[in-house]
Amino acid sequence: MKKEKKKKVSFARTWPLHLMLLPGVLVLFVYTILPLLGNVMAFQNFQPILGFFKSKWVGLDNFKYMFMLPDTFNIFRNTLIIAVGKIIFNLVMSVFFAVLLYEMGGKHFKKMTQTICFLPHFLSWVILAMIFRDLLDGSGIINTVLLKLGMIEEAIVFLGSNSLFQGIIVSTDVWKEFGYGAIIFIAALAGINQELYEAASIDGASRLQKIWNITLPGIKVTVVLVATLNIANVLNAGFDQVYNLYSPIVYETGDIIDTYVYRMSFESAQYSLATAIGLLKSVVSFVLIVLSNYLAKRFANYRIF
Amino acid sequence: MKKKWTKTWALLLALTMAGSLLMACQSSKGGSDAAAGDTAKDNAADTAQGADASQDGQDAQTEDTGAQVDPYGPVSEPVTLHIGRSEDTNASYLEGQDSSNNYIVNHISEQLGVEFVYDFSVASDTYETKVSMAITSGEMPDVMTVTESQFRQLAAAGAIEDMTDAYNTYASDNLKAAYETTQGISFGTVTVDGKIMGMPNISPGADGIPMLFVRGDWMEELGLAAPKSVEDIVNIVNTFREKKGTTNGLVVSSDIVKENGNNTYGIDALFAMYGSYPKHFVEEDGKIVYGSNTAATKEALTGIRKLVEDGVIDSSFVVRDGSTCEEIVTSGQAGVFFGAWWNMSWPLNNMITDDPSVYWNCYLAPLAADGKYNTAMTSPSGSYLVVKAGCSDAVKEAVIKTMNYQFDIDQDQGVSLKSDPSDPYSWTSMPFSLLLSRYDDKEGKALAVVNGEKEVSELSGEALQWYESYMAATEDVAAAEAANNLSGWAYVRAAGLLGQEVGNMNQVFDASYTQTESMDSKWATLEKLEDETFLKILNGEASVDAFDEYVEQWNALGGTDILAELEALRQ
Repeated sequence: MKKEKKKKVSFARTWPLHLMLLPGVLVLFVYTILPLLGNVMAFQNFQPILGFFKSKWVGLDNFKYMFMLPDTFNIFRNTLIIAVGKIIFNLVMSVFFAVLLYEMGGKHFKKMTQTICFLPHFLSWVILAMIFRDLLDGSGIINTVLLKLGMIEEAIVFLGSNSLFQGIIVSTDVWKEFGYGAIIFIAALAGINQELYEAASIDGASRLQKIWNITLPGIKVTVVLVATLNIANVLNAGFDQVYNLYSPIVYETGDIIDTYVYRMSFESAQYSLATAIGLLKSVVSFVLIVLSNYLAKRFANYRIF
Repeated sequence: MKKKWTKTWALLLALTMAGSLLMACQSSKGGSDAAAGDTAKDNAADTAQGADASQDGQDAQTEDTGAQVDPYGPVSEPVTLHIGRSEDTNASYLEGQDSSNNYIVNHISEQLGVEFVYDFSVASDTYETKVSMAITSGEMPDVMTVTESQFRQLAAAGAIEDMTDAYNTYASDNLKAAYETTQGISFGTVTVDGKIMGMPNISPGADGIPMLFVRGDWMEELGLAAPKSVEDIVNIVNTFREKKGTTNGLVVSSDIVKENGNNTYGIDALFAMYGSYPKHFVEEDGKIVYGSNTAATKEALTGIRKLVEDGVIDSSFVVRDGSTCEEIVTSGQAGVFFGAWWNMSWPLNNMITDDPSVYWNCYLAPLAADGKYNTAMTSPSGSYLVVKAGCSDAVKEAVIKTMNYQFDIDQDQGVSLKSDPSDPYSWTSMPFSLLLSRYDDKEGKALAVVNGEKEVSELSGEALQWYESYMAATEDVAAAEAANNLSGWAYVRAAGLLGQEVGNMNQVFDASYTQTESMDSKWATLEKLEDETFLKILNGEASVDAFDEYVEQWNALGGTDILAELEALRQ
C-alpha cells in the first residue's frame, strides 16, 4: 500500500492557469449561474411588475397546486414516454444504419447515402412540422392513398389522435436524426481491426456471423456509452418538435414538460407555477445526470466528471 | 528564461481576454448610458429651445385654463412620447413611409407638437410577451396598450398614472360619446377607486356576433333556400358535397369558441342556438354561472357531436388552425362556415379576384326554438392604454389629444388627410395600438346606406366609402373589384344584416366582463381543461358524460373561487 506521492503544486506556480480559466468561468457565471437565482419565483407569487424583491413569498404553495393539477402527472408521463422512445429507437436505427453502411460496397454510393440520411438533421422543425401537418392531414396525401387503396374506411386524423400522437412524434424524430446519430458509430466501426474479418473469412464465417461476432462487439462500448449518456436526456422530449405538431386535442398524450412550461409562462403569465415545474424537472434531470455518469463509468469506463 | 516568457505571454493573453470580456460588458452598459445621456441632452436642448415657445404657450395656456380647452389644439409644451405598440405586418404604406412615419402620424404630430418615438413596435403575436418583458425589466415606455390582467397588476403596483383629469379635460366630445355607447362596460374595468387608470379600446359590438356564410352562387344554381335551422345547414352542406364535390362540410377550426367573439371558423352560433354561451359568464337564476358549464352546453355538445359524427363537420377540425381553414374555404373545397361580419371582405373578397362569379351570402342562422337568433355579446374593451407612473401632465394631455385625433381619423377612415383617395389607410398605422370605434359603429354605418336613412350628402368618412363601394359593386362586381373597391360593399351586406335583424336577435350580455384575481393564476389551467374536454367530446374520444366530470374538476380547480369573486364584485 504505497501511496503515490502527490507533487504539491503551489498556487504561486499555477495562478496564470487560473487566470486563463477566468474568461470562461465569467461567461458561465453570467449566463448560467446567475439566472439560476430566478428559481426563487417558484416560491413566490411572482408578479413581473413587483419583481423578485417585492413579490409575495408563498412557500410551497405553487408546488402544492402543481401536484393538485391533473396535468402535472400527464406531462411527466408524456415526457418520459416520448423521450425514452426517441432514445431507444434512435439508438437502434443509428446502429442499424451504421452497420448497413459499413457492409455496403461502392464508395460513392455509400457516401451519398450517408449524406442524404444526414440532411434532415439540418432542417428546422418549424418547416418539417408544416410538411408533416400537410402529409398527415385528414385530407392529406397519406389518407388519400389509404382511402383509395381501401385500407381504411374513413380518414384518420393522425395528429389529432391521442393513440397515435406519441408514435408519430417518435418516428418523425427518428427519421430526422438517425443519420446524424450514426456518425459516431461509423467512426467507431472504422477502428475495428480488419485482420479479424480476414481471419473469420478463413474460418468460413458467413456475413451475418461476422456482423454478430466482430462488428457489433467492436462497437459495443460506444453503444453503451451513447446509451448511458442519453439517460440525462430522459426529460428532454424535444420542445420545438412537439410545439409545432401538437394541438389542444392531443394535450393528453402530447403535452410535455417544456411545452407546458412555455404555455404557462409566456402565454398565460403563470411564471411561478411554470418555474416550479421547471425546477422539478431540473432536480430530476440532475439525479439522472449523476446516474448516467455512474453508469457510464461502470460499463464503459468513461467519466464526465 | 524561456519558461518565464511563456508564462508572461500566457498571463498577458489571459488578461486581455478577461479584460475584453469586461470591456464588452461595460461598453454595452456605457453605450446605453451614453444613449440615455444623449436623449437627456436632446430633451434638455428641446426644452431650452422650446422655452421661449412654451413661454408663449404657457401664457396662452394660463389664459385658456378655466375657459375653453381645445381638444385638438397643440399640447401645452413640446412632448416626446415613448410608445410601445404592436406592428400590423399586413398594413401597407405609401412609398418611403412606415408605421412611425406616415401621413397620419405626421399630421397628428404636427397638430399637437408631439414627437412620437416607438420604443418598440413588434408583430401582434409577440406583442404581449414583449410588454411582459418591458414590465419585468423595468423599461416601460411612456405609453403602451396592455391586457386586462397586466392592467390590474400595473394599477395595483401603482406603476401607472391616473387619467381621470386628463380625460375629463382634454377628451373631445366625439370620443366621449363613443365611450358612452358601451354603456359603462368599458370604464367599468379601468376604474379603480373611482379613478380612471387607463384608456380602454372600443371595438364594435358587431365583431362578436357570429354569422353564417354560404356560397351564394352555388345556392342559386342549386335552388337552395336561405337556411334557418340546423337541418337547413346540414341540407346545404350535403347538397354542396353531392353536386359541387366539396371535400369539406361546415369548416371549423380547433378554436371552436372564443370569448371575444370575432371567431372565424368557430361554432359559437351552434352553441348559442341551444342557449349555451361557452366562455361567457352569464346570469342564470340570479346567479353568475360560467356559460361553458351549463346544462344547455351539455345539450349543445351532444347535438354538435352528432354533426361531427355525420361528417357535416370534418373530423379533422381538431387539428386545423385558421389559416388551414382559410385555404379550404378560398380554394372552393367548402362552401359553409361561421365567421364575423368583416369576413365578408376578408378573406372572401379575395376569391372574387380569381373568379368574379363567386358570391357569398350571409345569414343569422341557426335560429333557436323561439325563432330568435341567440348571440352572446362581447366586451367592447380588451386592451387598455396606460401611461407610466411619473409622466408629466403634458404627456397625459398629449395622450388624450392623440386619442381624439385617432378616433376622428378612424371614423373618417383617413379620407380628409389623404392626398390621393387610393392612399392606403389602416387604424393600425396610427401611433397607439388602440382601436377606438363605437360599440354600435358598424351596424349604424351600414344601415344609413341600406335604409336610405341618410342623404348621400350627409355621409362622410367610412359611411360614405361604404356607400360608394356598395353602389359600385352592386352595379358591376368585376369592375369594382378591379378598382379595389369591394370592401364597403361586403361590409354593408354583412353588417347591414346585423342592423336589420337586431330586433330578431336575443343579445345576451355577460353578467360580468371583469377578470378576477384568481383568474390570473388559475384561468390557464381551467381553460385548458375546458378546451381539451370539449374537443374530445366533439371528436368522439370521450363520451358526453365526460362533461359532468369536467364541471366537477373545473369547480375544484378554482372555478368556485372565481365565481364567488365575481359575485362579490357585483355587490
